[in-house]
Amino acid sequence: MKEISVELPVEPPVEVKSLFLPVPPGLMEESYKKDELVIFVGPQHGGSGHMRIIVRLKGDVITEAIPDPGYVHRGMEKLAENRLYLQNIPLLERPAIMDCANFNLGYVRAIEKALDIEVPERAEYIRTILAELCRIGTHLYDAGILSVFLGHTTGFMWPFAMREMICEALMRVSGARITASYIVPGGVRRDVGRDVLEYIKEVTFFIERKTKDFEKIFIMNPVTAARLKDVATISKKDAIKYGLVGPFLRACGVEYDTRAVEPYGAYDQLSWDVVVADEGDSYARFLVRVNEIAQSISIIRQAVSILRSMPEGNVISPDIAGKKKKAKKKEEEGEEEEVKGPSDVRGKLYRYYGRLTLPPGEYTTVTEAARGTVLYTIVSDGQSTVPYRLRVVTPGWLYLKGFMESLKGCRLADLQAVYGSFGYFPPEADR
Amino acid sequence: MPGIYRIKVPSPDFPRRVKGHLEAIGTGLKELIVPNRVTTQYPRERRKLSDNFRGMLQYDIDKCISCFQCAFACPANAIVMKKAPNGKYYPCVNYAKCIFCHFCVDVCSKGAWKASKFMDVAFPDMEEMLLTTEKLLRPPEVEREDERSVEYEFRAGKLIMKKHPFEDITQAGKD
Amino acid sequence: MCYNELLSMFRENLVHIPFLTDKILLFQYGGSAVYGNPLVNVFANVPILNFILAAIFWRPLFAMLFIPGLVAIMLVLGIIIWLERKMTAKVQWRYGPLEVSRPIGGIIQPLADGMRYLFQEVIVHGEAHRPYFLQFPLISFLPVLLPILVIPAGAIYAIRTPYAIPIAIALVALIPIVLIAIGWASNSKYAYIGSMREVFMYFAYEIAMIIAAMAMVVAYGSGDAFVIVQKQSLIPGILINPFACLVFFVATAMATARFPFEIPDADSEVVFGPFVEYTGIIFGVVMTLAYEKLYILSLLLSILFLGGWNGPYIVWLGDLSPAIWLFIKAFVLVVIFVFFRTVYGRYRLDQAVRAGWSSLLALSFVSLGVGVCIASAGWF
Repeated sequence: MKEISVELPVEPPVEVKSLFLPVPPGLMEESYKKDELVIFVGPQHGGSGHMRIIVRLKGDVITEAIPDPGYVHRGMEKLAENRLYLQNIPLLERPAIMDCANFNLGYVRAIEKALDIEVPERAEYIRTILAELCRIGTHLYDAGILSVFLGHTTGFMWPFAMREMICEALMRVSGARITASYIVPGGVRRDVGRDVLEYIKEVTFFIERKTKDFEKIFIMNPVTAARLKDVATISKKDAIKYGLVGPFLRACGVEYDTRAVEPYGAYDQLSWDVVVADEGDSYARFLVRVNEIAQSISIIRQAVSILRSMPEGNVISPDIAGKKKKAKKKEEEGEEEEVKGPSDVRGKLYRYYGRLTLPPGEYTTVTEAARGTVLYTIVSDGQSTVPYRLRVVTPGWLYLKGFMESLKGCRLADLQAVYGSFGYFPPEADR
Repeated sequence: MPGIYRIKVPSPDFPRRVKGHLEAIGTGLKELIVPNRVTTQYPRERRKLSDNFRGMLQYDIDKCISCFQCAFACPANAIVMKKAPNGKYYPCVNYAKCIFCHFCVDVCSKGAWKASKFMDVAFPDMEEMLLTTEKLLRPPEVEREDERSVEYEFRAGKLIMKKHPFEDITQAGKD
Repeated sequence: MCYNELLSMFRENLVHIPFLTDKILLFQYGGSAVYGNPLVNVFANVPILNFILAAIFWRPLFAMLFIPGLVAIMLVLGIIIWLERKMTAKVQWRYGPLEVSRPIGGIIQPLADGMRYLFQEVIVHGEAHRPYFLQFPLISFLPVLLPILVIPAGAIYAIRTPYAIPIAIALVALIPIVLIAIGWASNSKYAYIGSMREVFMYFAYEIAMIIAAMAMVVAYGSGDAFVIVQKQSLIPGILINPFACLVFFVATAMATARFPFEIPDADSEVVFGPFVEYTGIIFGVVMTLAYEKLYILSLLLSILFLGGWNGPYIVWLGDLSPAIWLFIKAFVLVVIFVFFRTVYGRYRLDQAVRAGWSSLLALSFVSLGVGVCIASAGWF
């Protein structure tokens, strides 16, 4: 169709200048002169998180989407430079509401890497259970947000109710519903009792049963399929080019999962599958995460049954507890006994971690959080009890580019569907 | 080594669409007729909290040896040590800053800090949120409307909301 | 005198409701029965009051004011907003509104909401076209109430005409114009996008809806609601022409922005579209607009396909009996439409428009063909 352009004496409103929009110069003027509409989605919009997406529309089709993140930037990296290694644990699990254990785990693993200590097997399994519970929780949370963006309020309430049981499980394990602060260098803060393990196992059955109903009413609902199918498709090549991570990369056909590539925790001892889809559209991104819930459930059940057969206690590394030294001494004296770590950190937290210093160097760990790869780099000068520099790269920040690129060519109504299919979480990306 | 599970994204053809519509409406009707409520009617009921719940702090001055470790370990700088008339230093807690990580509880080698199950607290203003040592020692004013507590229990994957009688929450059970 | 002429005119055409207008048998003792004076007759000789009463019970005015008119609409609004929230909550594992009146399940919640809206500040933002912005929500009542004139409820009717169904549908079709005008008067980008969506939806459903209604008019051989209902006394229209019913049903969902076609005022996409700038009681008024339209279309749906006011005659209700049957049928339909909120998300605009112009339109032509076949076969 031939386009007719008319020069109109229209200027964008003066207020636009004072908004300090991160747009190329002249974009506003240009779009005001053309038949294009620039609309701001967010940060006070019902269908955006704490961020602004500047959408340039031609008719109903998005020609350009420019992100304006940073509304919930808290300067975590800088804050971390002034805190003890121990004190950074509650700070660094706060980027993502529901994903505390994975974020906590990544940071703690960086410290363990620096100290070169081994974690007791029981603690590894408890960590794995916690990480997978948080993964399920985050996926349910994202499913809820996606469905309310599609106008499906039942699909919003059900996952949140299921997530409530996971909050309860986290509370029974650690004492807090979301920010557990449970994983500490060398282990976990305290042992998990048999009744709590039983509860966690029951929760997996509950979620499995309820997911079947949820599948009928939302996941396989024809309306949902129509809204998500073939929307914002990213090819395998583009996915790698834009640096997508986590389930969104796997939805494009790339078989990459940090848990499989660089196993940590107890993942290499459990049997599970990396969920991959080839389509790369919004529906695939959603379904990959739905299937990951099933995988996580299977991981949790295996871990629970292994933990049940394991003797209780010994959840903190003897290296941290200073028992190795004693044992060495005893060994020299001729007595040999199995070194066991304590089962509770109570009363000794300061003694273990208060004056923790890391050997000089740079320590990086990559962890598979629910929404993708989270990277921690600790730079230590070897003397101070605080990190010299701490780098956090969260999955949200990594896939923001791919998210914005995939929006091009979608319709305005798709913006929320794509947003939900990515599960974009501004506090996580802004750190 | 984990395997690869490649999912097939279903393409909604006509019979599958009809089936999907029917199943969705059927599930909705099923829930309408036999509701599965999970709501706790706070404040009439209250969720039963686990024994290791991290609520507000309880402080025992007799056990405190003024070692400063809790103040030092506090990630949010919520604990400040203040000098008392007897020359010793005792902690004050600022609940405007506290994040309930309970590092202080785990730090204290003498067991002077303990957890309670209070989590829904209200302060009249910001200044009141700084609890000095005297205020910490005073038992808190409690107003409760709840008559019972609710515990989530599962039997064969089904949620049972078990109702318990009025629960004392001043003392967390762990110790 | 004009007064007396009017009074006698009213009295000639009063609604017949036995328990209000007839003598009531109070008790029977032996051979003699004692009758109570009916309510209307008590005031028969009071000068002004008898006029007002006669006017109210005058058939056309009664239809407009009570059933299926204003009072019925208010009743539907009052119940359905509560019922919608309650049903949605039940499916979603919640309780829904409960705190306002706990013993009766929070049923007066709409009243509380209404109070809140009433005393909320009405903000007219600087860029709105002020006079239009304020008057369009009130004007919107006109196209909502006018179809009542030609939609009869049994013996209670305002105007009897052989073109009742076409007229009603034409009047209902005016409502989107008000919505579009509301979006224009708001002068905001989101309102603009919302009203453009309304325009697209309007074109998507309207043609199919009109054709489906015409298919039934052709099949019954008349647009007169009395004829239509009388012809359905044995088999309801839904069994005769299910295609037309399906088309009309889907088109009603599209016309009233119910799920899964809640596209013009999608709250997560265009934040209530045309109504984005409204606050206070004016928002309350525009918000109920869709429900009122839903009620009117449900009335039409039940007259065309569900046998209208056919139902067991209840003697002591008199003329009210068929009207109540019609109301119940319409209300059940409204509940069904409202229930879809719990089951569906919303389609995208282009998907809905495509469905409207392709499958819905095709199906409506099929239904027209069926209607012509029935008419030519002379089954009625």
